[in-house]
Amino acid sequence: MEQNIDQAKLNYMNKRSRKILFIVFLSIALVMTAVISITMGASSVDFQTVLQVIGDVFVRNDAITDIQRDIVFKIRLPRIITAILVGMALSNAGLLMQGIFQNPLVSPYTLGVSNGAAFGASLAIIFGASFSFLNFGEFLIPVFAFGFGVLTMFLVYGVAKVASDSSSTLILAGVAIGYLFSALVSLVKYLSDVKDLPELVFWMMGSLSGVPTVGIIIMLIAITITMILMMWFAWDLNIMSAGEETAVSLGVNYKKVKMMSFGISTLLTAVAVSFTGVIGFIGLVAPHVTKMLIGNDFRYSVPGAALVGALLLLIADTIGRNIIAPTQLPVGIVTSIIGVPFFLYLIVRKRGK
Amino acid sequence: MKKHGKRALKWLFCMAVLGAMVFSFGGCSSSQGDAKAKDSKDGITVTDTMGREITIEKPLEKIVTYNSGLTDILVMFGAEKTVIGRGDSVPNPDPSVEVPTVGKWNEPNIEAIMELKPEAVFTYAANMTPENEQLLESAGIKCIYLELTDVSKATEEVTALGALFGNEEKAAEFVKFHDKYAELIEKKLKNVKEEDKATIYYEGYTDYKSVNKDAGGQALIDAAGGINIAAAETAKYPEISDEWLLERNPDAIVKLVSSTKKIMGFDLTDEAPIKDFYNTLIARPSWSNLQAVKDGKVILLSSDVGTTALGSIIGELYLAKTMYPEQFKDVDVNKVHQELQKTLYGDDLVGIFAYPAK
Repeated sequence: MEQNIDQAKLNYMNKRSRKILFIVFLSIALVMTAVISITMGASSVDFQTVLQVIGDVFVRNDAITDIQRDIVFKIRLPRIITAILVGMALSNAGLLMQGIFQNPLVSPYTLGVSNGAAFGASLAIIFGASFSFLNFGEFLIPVFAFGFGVLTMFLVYGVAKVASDSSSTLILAGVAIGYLFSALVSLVKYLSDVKDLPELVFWMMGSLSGVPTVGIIIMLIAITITMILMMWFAWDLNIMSAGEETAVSLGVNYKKVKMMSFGISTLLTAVAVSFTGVIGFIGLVAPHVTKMLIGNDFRYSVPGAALVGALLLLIADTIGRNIIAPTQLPVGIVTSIIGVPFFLYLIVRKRGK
Repeated sequence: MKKHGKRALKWLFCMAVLGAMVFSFGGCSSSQGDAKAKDSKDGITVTDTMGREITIEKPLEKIVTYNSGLTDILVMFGAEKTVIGRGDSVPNPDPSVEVPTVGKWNEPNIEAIMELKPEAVFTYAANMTPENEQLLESAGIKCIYLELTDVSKATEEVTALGALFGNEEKAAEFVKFHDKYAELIEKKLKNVKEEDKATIYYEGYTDYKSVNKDAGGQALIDAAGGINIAAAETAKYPEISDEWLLERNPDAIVKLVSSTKKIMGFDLTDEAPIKDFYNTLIARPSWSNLQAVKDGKVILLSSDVGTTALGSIIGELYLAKTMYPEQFKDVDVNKVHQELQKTLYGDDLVGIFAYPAK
């Protein structure tokens, strides 16, 4: 008996070390990808120039121009950080949603947050001139997108609360309200002038360029706080994966944790979408990839999914920036083109096993 | 061995899916003709932007238009009363009458058009299906595509419109005005060698969205004697890499400002919002290092004088003066615009069309 317990402990420790090793491996892969990414771009700033620019921070190098310095520090670096943060935000939002709804098809966009945010952005883009009195300047679009994203969450929750408060009602309400906002976006598009349409269409495809420093700081704060909360409640979330009855019988405050998860995923999605537009696929697939590789334990899948999401989005954006440079491909297109075959490969491989 | 074969098969499958996705992107193009006009005993014959010959018996008196650029020309001809229906983005051409709207700018409402019984409909060719065109033609309504979006075709198109609306004199005046300044640009740039030509970054209404050689903006740049740095891109309206732009370091930058922003254009005279817009533009990462910014060769251009008939005179001059300030130092473009307004429209110019003023 004691021997069996020891064996089980050993197995657990082995699995645990494997998971930790995997997270360490992902972290190294992310750092390496970031290093490769910072040396690639549409300009001639290559690996050697980047090294010189970094060296220039410590010892002045007159061969380095202001433009080269800015390309590394003001263009590539913020964009790489944005890709990492948005990838983490969308992936963790998806992980939580799939966990609390126990539904593999759920993504951060299922509850209509992105449609609500898109509607807010479309109002700001098409009727921006009418809101000039608000004095939001370049933050008009992010503020409107975030505001309507969060408003959608309250609407969905309100409708679900009035009905039965079950997970399926929440999903149904989210999908329905999402359709409503999607129709409103179409209406705004329909009413818009030809001159404004490209900006809206472009926003809907997602872009990681030009996110202001304030935006990056906001995303960083949101991700740090929500990841700490998710890790704190990881055990509760694990138990909740077994269903409401089991969780309640084991003493988990099911409603509280569910509400918190719902709020966290909405916040993460709304923050990411408001600065970068709608970037699909990452929030749906990154959690699945993580779970396929290290299982469902939230203590590991939270950092794991964050790293997988960041890695996928960073790779997609690096490709988008370089494949037909100097023209940039919208990142939303690249995530699907490279991500879907990779995802299909994982599914095929898993079934093969 | 068998395992390897299976793995290869899986990879092949994945690559096939990826390939299918990539190759499913397609493109289409259309060739366009030059607009021309000729009178004959049988009526008036013009060639429209798509190269089709249009013959009408007498000048048009009742039309529906989905082309907002046409309104300017009709006002110039004094023919604004011919408009009995308009697309939603077409400004009301005659303030004394509320001309009804008959559908969205890119979706002509055939039923509503037929009800109004116009002699002709002016739309963009891309927005009219062959079936709808046939329906309208069978009801005796001509479909005419004089798009006014390519400045290199502006004089032909305005001449054709002059014939169609029975105001060939005004059209000729426009052409004369146009040619006078086209010649001026040519004369001023005669001695600029090919290798000394100014490079320019042309940005549309969306940040970092430029134009390639096939887009309307290229004709504007060509006419002003510039070299479009994004001409060789594959996409017609490519999103240009910010770092590439910094490295290309163009000699000049032009940014088109949509009239829907309501900061530039006719009847807008407050400089403060335009100044804010301009300062935000030049404050983009590292733009202070760009030669164009250092030399003050950055200009905001209202869409009214962009890729429009007016742009073929005023827009070209603004661009030319931005790129070659030395050669054009004796040309006050705003004064030319005022003169144009007075000569062709008979009233005073009110509004801001370029910033900083040239």
